[in-house]
Amino acid sequence: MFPRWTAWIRPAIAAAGLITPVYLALFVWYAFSPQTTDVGYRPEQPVPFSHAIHAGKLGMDCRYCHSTVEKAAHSPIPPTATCMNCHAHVKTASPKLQLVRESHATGMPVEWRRVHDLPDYVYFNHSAHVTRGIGCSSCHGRIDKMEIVQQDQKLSMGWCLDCHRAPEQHIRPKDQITNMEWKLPQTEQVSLGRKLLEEYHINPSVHCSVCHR
Amino acid sequence: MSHPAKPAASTISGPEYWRSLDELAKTPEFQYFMEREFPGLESQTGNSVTRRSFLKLMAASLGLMGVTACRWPDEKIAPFSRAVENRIAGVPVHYASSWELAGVGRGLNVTAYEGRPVKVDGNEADPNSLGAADLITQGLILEMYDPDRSTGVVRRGRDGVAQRSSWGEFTSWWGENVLEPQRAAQGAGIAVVSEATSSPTVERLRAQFLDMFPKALWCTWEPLAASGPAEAAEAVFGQDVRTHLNLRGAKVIASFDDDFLMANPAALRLTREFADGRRIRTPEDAKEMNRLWVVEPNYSVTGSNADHRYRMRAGDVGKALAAVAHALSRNGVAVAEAALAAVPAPSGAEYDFAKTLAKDLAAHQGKALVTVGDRQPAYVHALAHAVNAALGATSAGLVAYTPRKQAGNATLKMVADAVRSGAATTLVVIGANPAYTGPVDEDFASVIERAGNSIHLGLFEDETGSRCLWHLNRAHALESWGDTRNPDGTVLLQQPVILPLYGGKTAAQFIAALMGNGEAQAQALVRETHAARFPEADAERAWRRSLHAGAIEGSADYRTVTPKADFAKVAELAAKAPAAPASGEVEVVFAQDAKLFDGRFANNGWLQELPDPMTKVTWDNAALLDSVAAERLGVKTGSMVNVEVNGRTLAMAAYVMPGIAQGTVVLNLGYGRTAAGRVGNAVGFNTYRLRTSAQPWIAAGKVTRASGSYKLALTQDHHVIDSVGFKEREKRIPQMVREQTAADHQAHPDHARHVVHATPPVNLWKPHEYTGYKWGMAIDLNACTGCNACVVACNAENNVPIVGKEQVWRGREMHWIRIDRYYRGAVENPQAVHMPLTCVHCENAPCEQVCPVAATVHDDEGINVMVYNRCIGTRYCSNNCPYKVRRFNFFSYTGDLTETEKMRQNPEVTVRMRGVMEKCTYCYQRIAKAKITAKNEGRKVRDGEIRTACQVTCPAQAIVFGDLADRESQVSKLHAQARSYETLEFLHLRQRTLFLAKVRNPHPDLAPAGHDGGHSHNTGAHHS
Repeated sequence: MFPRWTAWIRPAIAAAGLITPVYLALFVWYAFSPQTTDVGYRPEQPVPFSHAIHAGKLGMDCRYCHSTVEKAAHSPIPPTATCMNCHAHVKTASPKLQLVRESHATGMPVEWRRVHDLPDYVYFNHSAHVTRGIGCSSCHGRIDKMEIVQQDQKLSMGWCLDCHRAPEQHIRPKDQITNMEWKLPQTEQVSLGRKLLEEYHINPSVHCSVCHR
Repeated sequence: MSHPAKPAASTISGPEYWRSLDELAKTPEFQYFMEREFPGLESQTGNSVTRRSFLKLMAASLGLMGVTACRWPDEKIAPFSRAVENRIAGVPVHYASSWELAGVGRGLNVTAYEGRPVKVDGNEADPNSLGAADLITQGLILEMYDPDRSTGVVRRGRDGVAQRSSWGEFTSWWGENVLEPQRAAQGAGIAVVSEATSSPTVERLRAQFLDMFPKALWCTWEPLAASGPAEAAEAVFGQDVRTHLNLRGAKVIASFDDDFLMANPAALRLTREFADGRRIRTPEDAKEMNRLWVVEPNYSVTGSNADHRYRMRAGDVGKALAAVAHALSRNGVAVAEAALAAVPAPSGAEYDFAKTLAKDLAAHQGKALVTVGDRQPAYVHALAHAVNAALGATSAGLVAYTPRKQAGNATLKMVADAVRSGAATTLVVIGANPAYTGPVDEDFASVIERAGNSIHLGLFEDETGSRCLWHLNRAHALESWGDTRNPDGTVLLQQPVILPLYGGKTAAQFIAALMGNGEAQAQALVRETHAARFPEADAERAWRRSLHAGAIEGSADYRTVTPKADFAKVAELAAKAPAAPASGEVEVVFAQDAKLFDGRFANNGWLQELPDPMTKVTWDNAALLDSVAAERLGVKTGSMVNVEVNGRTLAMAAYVMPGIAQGTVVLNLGYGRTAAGRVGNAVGFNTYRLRTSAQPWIAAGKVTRASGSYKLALTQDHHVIDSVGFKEREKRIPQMVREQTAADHQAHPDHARHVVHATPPVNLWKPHEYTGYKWGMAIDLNACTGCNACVVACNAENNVPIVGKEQVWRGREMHWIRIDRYYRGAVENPQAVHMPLTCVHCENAPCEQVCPVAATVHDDEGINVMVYNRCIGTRYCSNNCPYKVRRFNFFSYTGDLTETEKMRQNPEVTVRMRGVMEKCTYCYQRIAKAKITAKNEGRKVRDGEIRTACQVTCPAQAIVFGDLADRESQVSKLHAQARSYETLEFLHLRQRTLFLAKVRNPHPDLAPAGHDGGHSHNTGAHHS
């Protein structure tokens, strides 16, 4: 009654029915993963501040601006006054610094856009990490090479746990925290890491309560 | 597996505990609460959702799923332009400050994040709060961020039409229309009604005001201030005095209708002293315990802590004291003859206890005192002065007097008369709310309308403010510069923690403006007052030091006096005592509400939702009746009754209260407001409408049954320990709360652990292993007085939402900590025990074992952690929790908060969403903070460094938190005490929170024979 080729319709529907959900699931999983959505996030900032110049070329210490990183949970964006410490003398007429000068004159803040944004139920603490051998570049990447800051790592829970489970892979001496170029061959890193873990009494928790309250 | 063995169970002859009359009678309502894990679930939302609308909603949400962006919303970071010294983003700042309630200051330690106050605690340097805070103080934060606060100056025309105005317009209007004309008239046309205050700055400005306008009337109106104490002091000492109690060293305390643990200005200090006087570290301490006797008409919190409590009509309390005084003189204590002659010894078996009480007092001269509640008539106070003098309480410093001057020159009646007669044309109201709280026969609302000009300064445009022609918004205590005095007279300073949200002014600024200085700065006014206290050379530094401490050192101006006492006039006072109610009548007693005070905190959801310490009623007040009267009237809790006093009738809900005096009806004040705000309007019944100026506290009245019933949202039956064990309830409740007598504790210190015999348990799981900290808690039932401050402190610290009366009625209140109040003994006159209960962090946690998604798990320091993001809302955990301490977010309780309300949330704690379970975390945010600080400094967390919110606020220091791995920690030592016990031991939960048994100290002549509070030791050989 029907042409012969129609016999394929039913198996085709069955196959499509099997493949489509798998495809959709994979698509959603990949498309919504932090790897896709967050890594490389690079919003335009109101002031074209270049880390590549300040931290890279000029070699300024991270903590000159991000001053409370060793004391508090937040590592703040510095007040305008910090910029003006130098820019009252350097590039005083640069149009790029117009907003900074305005902010300094009016007392109103420069509204920066947040790049590294953890969910509100995560209580990350900078001081707990940088005072115990986790370097800036471990999470933020080569900031000293970025003209515009971008997110370098996934900052997902799995990514956090990778390090909490195997801290020896990432830990470094306390005096190397701000060293952007810190990199050791794998075996050396692990043996140094194990030594440092002992020295710094580090035993990172992988329990929920360590980040969530 | 490990239920109590049958033979052991049969030896239990423990006290019979019960929570409510419903439970005792096993009414259908009680059965309902017991049988349902989440009562009210059958009609989830109140309005039924049809299948069709459900599908529509689901389809819409599915369709819109992809619309939301892939990333979080774009967030801005706004750093300071110039950094503020010592300010680090995300690190809270603590300020010493103070606030004032009815003229009594309380020292505060305010925690602020980024300029937003989010938590208040007591100031440890203030000797009257000692770091603790009462429940109302804990609610201050919510009051400050209340979106219903008045937000500006309002000018109302005679036609009632209100217009937004401004402070400047007011001052120029006042200058033209009142100030200038009244200067010549010496203020004869001005009448002021002010709240009570002990602020030196306000006092100074008031004196200036009365110098400027000598003929003006100034009245201090506090509805809860009683006249008895002042009248008695004038009669006995020839001058008005404050009576200060000092319980340190007191061995016998006899309270006559005095709820000194809740209603005394120095209640926080008294609670600490009372608890310290009963604190047991070793069994020997039980010998030195103080003993509390209470005689009272209603069942107060103080009464619930008594070793011996006698219920008595308020009008008979004085007779009881007379009986004691006469018995004392027979015991060789020289009570002033004139006082004894004025009040004859009453006859009747109900006064028999006076002999034993007198014996106890006489045996502890110099270490014993009596105290009388403010609402008692003057002669009772006078008699107490005589008894205290005779007992040596005065000379030993347990009772001290300081002179008190009347604030102002008029009474409320004088003001009302002056306005009515037209003598006063301008009525000024500062802070008070007489239109609501004034005596009903004065009808102050009409007085305001009669006044030509009426001006109101207040936080809210309340019953008074909405009737006045001018309403000026006031700055909140946390927004103000100011000063006040703590109960011993020390000047406490008040500094703003945030700029006034709505540009309000302080009372001092307002009075300055009334004198023509509309531009006065609040800080300048305060500094001017105290300029003389600071040496000129060092003034700035001394001022800053005082601000930092929160108090001016050495400023306690209340000097103790030892006035010459003359008891000749006691007979005169006794003659004025209110007559006993006639037959067919009942005695109506008005009472301060533990939560709303006089009603001014009616718009505070935390306080409204807090269960009353004794009745466990939320969001309401009720007529408290004794069970005999209730039976006679045929009413039960929730029935409507008519209460009639002096021809005025109020229909209100009845509550059958155990332990209340027969023939007494207790009415709490402060409810039934009409202009409190969205939260407080139309909650409960306005009992002020029965309160006359002649009989403000004790009146004769009638109670009759009215038609209908009323839904009271009670929490007492909500979290009944599971229904499986209900039949064995008699055995189970003693497993929760345990108590013994002091004598018994000395003989058998570990008695509490042997109340129940559990067979040695077997672990089904491998026990957790701990290498680091082991957090734990100890709750001392012997210290807890049941004041409920911890509940409100927890609300503030942990962003616990308010759910409203309807939801509480369904058993869905969200409090992480609750105080269970168990009764024990005869229905008419039971003893009460308070038991704070929160998640006890079981090692073998039943909740963890049933969660299908591992949303509640154990961490490596022994905390039972709740992971909100994993929770899918099965509620199995709560079902399996034997303590019923888990709370479920049935709705999004925080989703529709206004922007101002959001500002008060503690940023260190996740705000929970709908559909997840939550519970006590041991204030994990505080643990994490201390751990990180300690690690950054390369040390371990010190004992006492972490204090939970409930622990900090507890005036009795009943709660201790710490590291159990440290043998020397305070909590470990408490756990090691013989009194400590595990609740529901046979379930083998191995809680991290242990309780310490309550120890009562009955007089040997009245002590029950043998053991009290457990099984008898001579019935079985079970000593292990």
